Amino acid sequence: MRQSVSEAKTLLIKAGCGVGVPIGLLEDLAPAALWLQACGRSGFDQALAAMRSLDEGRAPHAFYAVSNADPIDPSKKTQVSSIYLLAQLGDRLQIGRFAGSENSCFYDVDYPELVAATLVLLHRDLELDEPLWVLAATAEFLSKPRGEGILVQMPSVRRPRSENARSLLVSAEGAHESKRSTDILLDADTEAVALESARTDGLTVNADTVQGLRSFALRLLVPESEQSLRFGAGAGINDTD
Amino acid sequence: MSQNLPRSDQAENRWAESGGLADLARRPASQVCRLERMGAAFPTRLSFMRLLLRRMQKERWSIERPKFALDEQGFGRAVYRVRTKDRTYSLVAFANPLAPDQRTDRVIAAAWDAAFVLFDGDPQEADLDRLEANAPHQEAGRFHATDLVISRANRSIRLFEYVCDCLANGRQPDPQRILDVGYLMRTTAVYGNGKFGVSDRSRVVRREEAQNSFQIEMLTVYLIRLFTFDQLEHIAACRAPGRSVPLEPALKRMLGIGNATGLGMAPFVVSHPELMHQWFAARETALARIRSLSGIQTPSIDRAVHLTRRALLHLEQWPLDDEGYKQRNARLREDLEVILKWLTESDDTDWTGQYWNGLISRSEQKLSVDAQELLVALLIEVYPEVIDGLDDGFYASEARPLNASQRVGEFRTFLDTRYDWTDRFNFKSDEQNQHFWYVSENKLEPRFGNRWTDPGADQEMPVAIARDISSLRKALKGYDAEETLAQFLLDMPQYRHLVRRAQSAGALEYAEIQDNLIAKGTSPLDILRFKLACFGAAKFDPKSSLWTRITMFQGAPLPDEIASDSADDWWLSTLPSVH
Repeated sequence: MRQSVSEAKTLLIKAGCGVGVPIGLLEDLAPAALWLQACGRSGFDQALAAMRSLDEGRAPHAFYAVSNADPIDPSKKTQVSSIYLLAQLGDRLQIGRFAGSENSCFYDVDYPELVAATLVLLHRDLELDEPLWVLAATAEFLSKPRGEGILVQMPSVRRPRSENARSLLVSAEGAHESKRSTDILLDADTEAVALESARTDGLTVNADTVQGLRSFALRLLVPESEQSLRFGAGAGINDTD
Repeated sequence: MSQNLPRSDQAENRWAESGGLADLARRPASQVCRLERMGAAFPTRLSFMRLLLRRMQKERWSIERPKFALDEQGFGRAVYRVRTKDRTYSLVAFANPLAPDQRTDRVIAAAWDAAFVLFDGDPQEADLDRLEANAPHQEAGRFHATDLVISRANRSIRLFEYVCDCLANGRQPDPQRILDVGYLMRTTAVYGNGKFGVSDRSRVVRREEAQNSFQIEMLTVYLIRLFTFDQLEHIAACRAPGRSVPLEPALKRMLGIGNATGLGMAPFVVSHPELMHQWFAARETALARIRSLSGIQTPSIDRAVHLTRRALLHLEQWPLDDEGYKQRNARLREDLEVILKWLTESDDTDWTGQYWNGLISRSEQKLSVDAQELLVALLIEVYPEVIDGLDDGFYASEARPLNASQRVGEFRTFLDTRYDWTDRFNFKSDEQNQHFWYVSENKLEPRFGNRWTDPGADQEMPVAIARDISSLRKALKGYDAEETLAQFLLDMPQYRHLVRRAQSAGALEYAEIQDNLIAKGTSPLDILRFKLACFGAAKFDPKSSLWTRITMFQGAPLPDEIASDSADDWWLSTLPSVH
């Protein structure tokens, strides 16, 4: 169903609040989900699913114990919430933790594309000198140096053995290794068309997804009290004139 | 409508020639971004309705009525087409019967006398059919990206039928009754920017005519006003063919569009700090420019005298029920007489120096806040040129990412400088935590609850900026100055939105309301009045501290008057013949 971008964004943030996610993290999630959705990569389905992970306890409301020297044990049963991880890694990108030759691998991320999208969008905004490469199982995201553009393509490099389908590899160095795939999912031209369409016509979001987000957002609503109905805004002695 | 504006003062010309540099500082945020003063705001030449009509005049927009298919009771559909410099907008109106038991002007209503859509372009019949199936349902309808704004309105029970009856009987209505109400219809909501599926603001924001705040919403209301006139005269003509008369233009001009404004507007102001800053900064810069003028000329003094007299008449014609506002306006009347005395008793020796600066300082010492703010608005009216370059930036820029690499010490110092005003409040006291803002289940509208008696405080909206920034500042004290905010936010993600807000809004002088919005005694009405005055609304008629009636476009030129030289001179409009 068609949604305006602003109502979709508002709904997403309210839904996240309904699940108990701090609003500041949702402000980081929203641009990624909207961008993926506009570019045809079901960002809202993923965002809703990530909220459900949190709500149903499959992912804890917690940040990843991030350290290149100390990756989380991949045999762990719980997943890492992409909603928490995307803000966390965005901050790490800003403090220069992805610069240089080291790769960073994050395991059991519930919806890796949300994190990948956050990182490349932020990287482009920051116009950093080094490129950034983020490899998820479903796609490879590349942000060129100095904000020169984003490319999303089918994975073109062999994935590390330790990875699973929910792992995420982030690297500046890896960008040099990435090969131009013949299966481009998004380049500058297609992105521009997609974003222009969203700007002027809004988004198409799965109706079930909208409904799912609404059900979380409804948790924020407070029933009207008798007091509010009698004396709240709009109530008055002369109700019509 | 009136009179020629004075020629510019030489001093003003000097100011303009020098690049418009003000040599006096703007009033500080600690003075103007306060609830009491916001709650005394008056419309100015910078108000959005004025901006719209000046653009319509300058660019010679035309208004046509390609469809007017109303039956003899005024029910049916109509289309108003506006041709701007570059494109076309159309107001689509649907008027329907409304059962008495469904008539309420509260936002919780589900049916209205009329529903409206501002359509992007020329609607085809299929568009009209689609809109007819959705617009009357408003929030329950679904809209396309071509639908820019939706609204609805009810006829004024006090006025519509009375005026219609007068016209049908070949006579004009009593002007006093026109003034007592001020509108034929009252809107209960005007929704834009993506609400309920209408177009995002992003669709129009690159268009010159739509870039400034709320311009397409204001256009919608202006066209609704035209519809109310046409519908009224159509019904009267159907009732008494050959006998009915059209409404006299002078009376028509004094009919605006009513609006009942509740709490929905207040969180908007809090959640759009950059816009709030721009609205304030434009006004305060205009005032600073005026205060810097010296060598004031007689025509400017005469103009100020004229406007003060008009303001006095406006006060007399301002209908009010609220006792508090009645008392305030009584004091305001006294203060305006004082201003009039100051002006008329001054002479050219006073005007040699920075006379207006002295007058403002004097008003701050001697007069009520209402009078101080009215004087500011009045002086901006005296000098139309003073707002040059200030009225084209009322929109927010792209959000910048949170800067997680900033050091805690640096951020703490920044907060201590820009948010020191939060130290005024002791949040350990119950009184400073008396209220909370929430969204009601009924119609999804914001509400203002009592934390100690009402349920729902666990779902509080993030509106209590003073309390929350105060809490953030305390939390930061436990961190090493050299630590990054990234580390702090890993430990305390609940502050993430506040860090982001402070980093952007904190750098803007007027971005924050420097009061505690959850304290006992807080009147949300103050926030509403500020925003409504920015719109250009007047005749605030509070029904409680939570909602107010207002009138929009009262006194505004009719479409065939917009091209006239005096078209923009409708600040604090009056109907002189009633006096």
